[in-house]
Amino acid sequence: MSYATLAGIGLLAAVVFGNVAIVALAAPFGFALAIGLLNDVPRLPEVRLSIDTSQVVEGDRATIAVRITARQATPRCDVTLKFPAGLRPDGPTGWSLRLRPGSDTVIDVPVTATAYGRFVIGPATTAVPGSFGILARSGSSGERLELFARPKAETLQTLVRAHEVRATAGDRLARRAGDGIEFAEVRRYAPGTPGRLNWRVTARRGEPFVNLRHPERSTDLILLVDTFSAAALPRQVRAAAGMAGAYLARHDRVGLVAFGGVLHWIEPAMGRAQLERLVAALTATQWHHSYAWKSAEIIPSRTLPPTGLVIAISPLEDARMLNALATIRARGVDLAVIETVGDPAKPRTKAGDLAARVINLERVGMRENFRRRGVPVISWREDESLEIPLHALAAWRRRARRKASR
Amino acid sequence: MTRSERRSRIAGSALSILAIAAVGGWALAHATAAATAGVALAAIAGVVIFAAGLTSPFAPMRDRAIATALLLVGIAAVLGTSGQAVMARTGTLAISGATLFCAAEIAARSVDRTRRLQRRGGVDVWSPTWVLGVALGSSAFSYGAIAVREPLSGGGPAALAAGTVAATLVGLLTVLLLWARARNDSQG
Repeated sequence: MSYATLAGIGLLAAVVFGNVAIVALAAPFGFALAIGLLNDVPRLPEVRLSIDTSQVVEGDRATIAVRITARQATPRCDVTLKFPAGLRPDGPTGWSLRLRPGSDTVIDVPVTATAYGRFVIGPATTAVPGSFGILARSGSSGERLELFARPKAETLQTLVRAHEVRATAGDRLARRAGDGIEFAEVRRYAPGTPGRLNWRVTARRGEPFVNLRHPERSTDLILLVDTFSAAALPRQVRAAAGMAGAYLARHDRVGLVAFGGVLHWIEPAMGRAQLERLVAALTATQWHHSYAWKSAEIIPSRTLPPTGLVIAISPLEDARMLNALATIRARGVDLAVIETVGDPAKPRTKAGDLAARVINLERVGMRENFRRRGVPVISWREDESLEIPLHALAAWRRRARRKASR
Repeated sequence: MTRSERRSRIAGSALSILAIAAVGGWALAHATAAATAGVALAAIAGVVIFAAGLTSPFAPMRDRAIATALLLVGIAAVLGTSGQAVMARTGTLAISGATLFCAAEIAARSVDRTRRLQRRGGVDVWSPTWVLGVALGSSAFSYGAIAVREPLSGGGPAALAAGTVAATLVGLLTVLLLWARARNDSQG
């Protein structure tokens, strides 16, 4: 295009100014334009994309195969593949090739998922330039590939249990004595008492005594993820995915409430399918900027069962989230909060330092308010394992239970 | 970008800037006293725009920047040689045109390497012979055509024959162009 313009301007100037010498100046551009227009540009090759796996865990690698099939000789063909943010190609993403007719070239592109999410790769952009770039063929070819990167979840040992258990079987020892494996106590037999007869005690006391055991029951866990904060969201999603996996592995029911710009929830259920549902929902959870006042009152009661434990993962920065937590607690739901704490910025001025201290005091007051309502707030720093706040939470709840029983 | 690619890009950019600056300098050297200021201004602006066009912030408008720079340096060359005789002016402008064309091609191909493209299988990305051939061939042809114009300008059978040949050539070229475009379109 530029050559056409330059050649045109040169010829026009020669005519307008009556200066034939200007033609000599513009001649090379005109010649290049003529050669470029005369030369045939080969047709675009066929490009097909394939991937060795459709699912990876964040940080893992997948390999994309780019197969280029030429129908005619192509002196130069540029194939470029664009990757979305969150996928890091470990090598070149564009190739300039010379193709023979009927040739089949396969290029492997290893990519690393640097974030969780559902990524779309392709189609590839193909360009075949002609002489001097005057004419070129370009287009998109190859199908779109989908790669699902699951959040990298921590393997958890410490799990906080709900105060109440469900009637269905699980891995948790119920506090009440009944029929199970773990020994609880020996009790005088009364009609309807479960358990097996303890012959020794019965023979010694002269009346029937039975052995009672703790039954294994399941519990409900509801993960409440704060999506008001974009910065803390990936960490919260990873934590929630890790906890969901760990609780479901112990046959508990797990539900999810994503509370933020967009509110959505998944009712508690158990099993592998529920884990997939939760991971898919967590991965799709995004931060949406919104000034709309959101309330937890619209969350159906089935999603927040009264016998379940609600663990909220939140930076506790948005007033709407604080209000929602207070509402959930007011419903009588067993609630605990893991507060995600980022690296605080160091204030540079005296005023900044004062502001930071005021904010800190406000946060201490807010945590104390929650604790007074029986809601533990455990801080989780960025460099810490999730085990640490979970361990602290379990200890806090043990202490609170002991105090209540006294 | 590998080290050799970076080196090649720097060398190509420097060579093209030097070439365009040489044309500007040459135009300035030939300029008459009255035209010196205009020639200098156009040449300097052309070289600066050309150099800026090769930098990454101007990448989205690189083609336009290079074309503008070539136009400015071309204006400087035309102004600078305006005081010369016809054939001397034609010679100077033919060489300037060839140099500017080579500078543009070198620049375009040098910056083309910066794209993250892995070159495979002996791709023809740089053919200096081809570019030089087009530049020198076209300049020589245009110089020759202008040189024979003077003897033919008086009219007569020779001029008629030359005019007929030229018209036939232009016609053939037009037909070839249209045919090539039609073939390309049908294959696309």
